[in-house]
Amino acid sequence: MRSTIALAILLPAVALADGPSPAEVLQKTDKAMNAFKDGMFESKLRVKQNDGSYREYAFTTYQKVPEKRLVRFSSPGDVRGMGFLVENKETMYVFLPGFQRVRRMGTHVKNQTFMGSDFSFDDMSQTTFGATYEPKGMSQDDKHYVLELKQKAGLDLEFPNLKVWIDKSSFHPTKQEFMDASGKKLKTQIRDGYTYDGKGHHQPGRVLVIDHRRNDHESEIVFSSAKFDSGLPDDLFTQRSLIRGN
Amino acid sequence: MRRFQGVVLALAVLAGGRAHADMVDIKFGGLISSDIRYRLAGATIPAEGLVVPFPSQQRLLPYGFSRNENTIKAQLSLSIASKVKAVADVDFVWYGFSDLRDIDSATLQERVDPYRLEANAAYVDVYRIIPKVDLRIGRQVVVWGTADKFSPTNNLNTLDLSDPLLFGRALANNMVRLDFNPWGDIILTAVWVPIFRPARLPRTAPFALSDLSRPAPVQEDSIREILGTFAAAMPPTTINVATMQPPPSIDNSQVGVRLAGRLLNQDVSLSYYHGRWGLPVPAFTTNKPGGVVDVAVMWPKMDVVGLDLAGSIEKLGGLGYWVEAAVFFPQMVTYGVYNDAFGGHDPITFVPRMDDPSRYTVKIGEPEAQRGTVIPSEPFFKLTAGIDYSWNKYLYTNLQYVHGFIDEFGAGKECYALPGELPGGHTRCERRIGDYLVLGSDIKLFSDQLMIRIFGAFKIPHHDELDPRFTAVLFPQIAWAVWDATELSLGAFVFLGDRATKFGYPAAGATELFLKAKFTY
Repeated sequence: MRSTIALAILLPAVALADGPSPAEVLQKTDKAMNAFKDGMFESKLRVKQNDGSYREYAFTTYQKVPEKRLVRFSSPGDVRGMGFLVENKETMYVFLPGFQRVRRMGTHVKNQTFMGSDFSFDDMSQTTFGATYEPKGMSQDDKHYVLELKQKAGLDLEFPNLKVWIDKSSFHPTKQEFMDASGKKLKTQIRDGYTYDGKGHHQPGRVLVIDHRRNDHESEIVFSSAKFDSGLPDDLFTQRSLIRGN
Repeated sequence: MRRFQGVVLALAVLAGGRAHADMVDIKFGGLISSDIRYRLAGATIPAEGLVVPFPSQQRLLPYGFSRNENTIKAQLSLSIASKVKAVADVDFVWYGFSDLRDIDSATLQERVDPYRLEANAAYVDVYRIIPKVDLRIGRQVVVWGTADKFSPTNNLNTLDLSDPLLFGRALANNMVRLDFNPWGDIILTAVWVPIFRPARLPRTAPFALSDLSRPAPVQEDSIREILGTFAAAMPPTTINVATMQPPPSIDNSQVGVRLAGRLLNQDVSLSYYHGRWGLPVPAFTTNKPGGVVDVAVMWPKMDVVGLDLAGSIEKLGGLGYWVEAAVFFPQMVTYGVYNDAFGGHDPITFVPRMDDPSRYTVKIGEPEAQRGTVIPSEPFFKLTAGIDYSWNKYLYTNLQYVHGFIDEFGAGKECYALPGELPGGHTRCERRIGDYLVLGSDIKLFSDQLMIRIFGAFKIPHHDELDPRFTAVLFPQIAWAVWDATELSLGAFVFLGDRATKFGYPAAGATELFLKAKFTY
């Protein structure tokens, strides 16, 4: 407790000396990552195989800030038509076209990987850091703030510690290291190929995940297009929409 | 393919009038699969001497190939903006068995290599035909309920029970469906099914009606014993089974209404269904000279009121749960017994004895007296409650308690002849609506490329059963996703129990080993 108070006293001093405080950087990052009302993203999930080749899944993601998300798969054939709807952290549905059925999913699915890749469901639904993490330290180089985050009290996350490299100009993350409670690095995420549409929206061209627990196994999501603030209707994020599939 | 697309576009333009070819979004897909199965320790079905249904080479042997299919599935979806969608889904299936009943058959491709067509979907969707209302007309499957496979509220489509590996698959039927979505996820669905389509039965099912030792399907012990005595005195030599299909009248239409929404962040729905039970029940039997018995089966009417809910329990790590319950109000079905053996057509009925109303005496030629009861009019209850959980990225577990298996209908009891008994011999009875524990796990390895699955359904003996016996089915398999959209699977569907039990009775099926390959495009 005493050390926390000491840290709290020290942090503003650091902020005054070197620019924004860790809390301000975190807040600005969350704001930059959600600098749109809605978005539509065409992308491919690529899962690296042992022989160096990739398995690919094509999907479209519709997102409405803050939490709503609809994912529809278009290839390969065995997943075409499948869809996920995330209404909030506790309410998720999957549509299985073979059964013509929408199924409510328990949030335990977050323990699974996303389509067998190195992305977890938490990775896929992460829109902010501040909801689950709080800063415990920060350093910087000429291009990045390097935020050290820890999970908020009362949470039991898979990765209790996080290190995030944040671009100083855009406040978008370019690299994240996911660690366990002891600080051991378990996973790395790299976001690169950022583009800027001139309207305040930065979009990575690729998100790469390396899982160090699986011999540095790699998966990546490559974005082919991103469209922001096109006025996606609320009824797109409903079970009816999931069934309609268009 | 390009020519085909051109035809489709031309049709769309011509038919739609205002539709422009470049507005039509065409999606084409499907799968190619192969399915080989070998049967172990089953009964010969149909028994030697009886005619094998189409294709005639596919007699089920105690040990032999029971399936040798190839399937090409074609799925076509045409949509115009977010307004209209037309969907077709057709399976072309080659049996892999010949149907050579005579030498002329050997000259015909369709008899040498028989095939069939299954239309899983052929419907048109019109979205927001009026504000907040979607309309779907055509051949479709409407799935209600939250349980996995064992959904007592899911009655609009009857089941395709022809393949135990596709457990719970529904048969598509022509329907009109309206969905009214006034707000959020509150949906009021109304469905009208003009023509009832009976369930497709497993190839082993007719055994239940042609089994000479099976006790009469009546509830009254005394009447069953009397009919058993008749069967022992005049053992049937042949049993012919006729069907009484519901006529295509408006009275035989099915309707369903469901209101679904969310309460305290849990999904809740209420439903009502009026229609028929998909599986046939015996209603008449006529004893003819020479030991020939004609049986007629029918599909009883029913009304079903259902409730289901599903959600996630965050305090238990996001454990998924579902509860689905339904009360069935069945049409009463009685067992009309006639005796033509002596030249007439005499109804055989029963009256309770004065000294003991639970015992009956036989009346011949008195149709106004009582028949045996096959399905009592008494309402009965079915329920499925389940949970599922992902322990980690490798292991998923699913557990369900099921009160009322998918083929169980009616209050009262189900009786089996004990193994080795002759007609009229000793029987064993158990509650018709049984209790089951269904549990299974998936183990996913190598980025989900390899899945090891083991599922089982175990019958739980009821406390008042006199002769409880173990019976279960097991479904172990290994599925290997060798590459994108390509899967090989190897496994077994194992039936356990003796022939006086639910899963051990030969009509339920027999253990099969399977090897499947599937490519989805």
